[in-house]
Amino acid sequence: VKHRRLVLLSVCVAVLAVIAGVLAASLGSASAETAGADTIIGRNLEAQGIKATSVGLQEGGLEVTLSSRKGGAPEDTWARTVIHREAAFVAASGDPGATQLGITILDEQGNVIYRYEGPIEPRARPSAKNNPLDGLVGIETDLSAQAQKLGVVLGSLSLDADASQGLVVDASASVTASPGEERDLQIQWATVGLLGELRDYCEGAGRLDVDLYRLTVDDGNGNVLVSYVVDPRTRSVRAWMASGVTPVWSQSQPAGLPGGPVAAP
Amino acid sequence: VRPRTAGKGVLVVLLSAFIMAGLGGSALASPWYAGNYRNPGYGVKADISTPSSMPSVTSGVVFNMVSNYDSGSWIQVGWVQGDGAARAPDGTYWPQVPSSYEESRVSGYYDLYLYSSQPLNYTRTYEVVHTGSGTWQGIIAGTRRYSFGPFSTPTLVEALTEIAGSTQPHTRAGFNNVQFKGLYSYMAFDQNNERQDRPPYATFTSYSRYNCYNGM
Repeated sequence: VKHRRLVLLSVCVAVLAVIAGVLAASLGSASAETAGADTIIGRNLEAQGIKATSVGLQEGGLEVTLSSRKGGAPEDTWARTVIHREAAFVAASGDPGATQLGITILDEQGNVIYRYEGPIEPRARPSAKNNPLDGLVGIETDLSAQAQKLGVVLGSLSLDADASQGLVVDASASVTASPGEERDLQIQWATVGLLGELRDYCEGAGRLDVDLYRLTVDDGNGNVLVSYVVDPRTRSVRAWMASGVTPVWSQSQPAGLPGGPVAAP
Repeated sequence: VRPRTAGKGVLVVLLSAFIMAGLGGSALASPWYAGNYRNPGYGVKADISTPSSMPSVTSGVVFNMVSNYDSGSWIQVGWVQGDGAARAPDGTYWPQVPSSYEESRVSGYYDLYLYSSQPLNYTRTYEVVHTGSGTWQGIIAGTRRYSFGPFSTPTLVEALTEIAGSTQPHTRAGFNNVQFKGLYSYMAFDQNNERQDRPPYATFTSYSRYNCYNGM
């Protein structure tokens, strides 16, 4: 009798466990289905080390707020890029939660130092890629030599097969000149010049399917002067520059009035 | 020691200039402008046309655009044409045929988006306009693009041709219906802040209607 009771008890426990498992699975799936775009993106950002102050939906728009410091910070560039891409990836996965994206960056005092608004253009998340072992070996020596001629020190150059963002080329360089024209020329090479060489090498012969290029330029003493991210598929560039640095990577420079401002009539 | 150090400095500058020339006319010389300004405005828009034949751009880059300007911060939209050798900020080359773009700098933050080509003998309306709380939006041919801010609004607004990298780029752009936005509505440019750095040149029919050109 004892043995029968034990078998019966075991069967009951097994059945209950199965029921509990099924219930948990269905509840979990329901929760995933009902999670809004803001929740999903908030989780995705957190998983990628990006700490948003808030992520929410407002009037059909996804609003993300970041905390930074006066003048902004180098890491804001990567954060902005990832926010744009995650919004597009989530939209492409069938979540119609938002069609517009807003990004606000605040300084320590809560002042808005950057504001972006624009449509979310859905796109698929890049497929998982392997990190090719010999990815940038062929160009590193040549780039170091080019950098040296200009007084630029090429720091790290690496490929990262990021699970969320795809294949990322990451390069850093240090400029050695004091602020002025020579340093501007060095920054120009360390951004658009270096980027051009990298893109020619990676994409010229279809050698690598790069999803993002990420460049950092510092002053040789650990102070970042420029952080620079390019998404080659959308032909978009996002950058941050320290105080005293101008966007020397672009020829386009709108001008103030030659003789100074004119008073309004 | 001093003369040797100075010599090295000169060598680095010379090498820099040589390599920058290799980057394709992207030296840091100041650009040249033609067009008109209005101060202040809450927006600016213009119908900017391309010429009927392909401009010859063999050295440098040309921009035909509308922009605001707030102490070194700006948002602009327009069409750009490069020589096929000058690198655009995305590391590729500026397009060799007139193509639309949107570019912004807000204090330390920079953004650029490159769009489709603008056919020859074709007009697109380009606009940047304040949408509230210091944020300005770029609009190209009626399509709302991206907004950036904050700017101390109202700002100086402008509709200009800019050539950079060299004085070679040939261009011809008609700027018609050049308007600034007051608090509530658009009005024709009404101030004589006309500029031509020769090159580029400009012929003004009025403050709000002019052609900017160089070499064609």
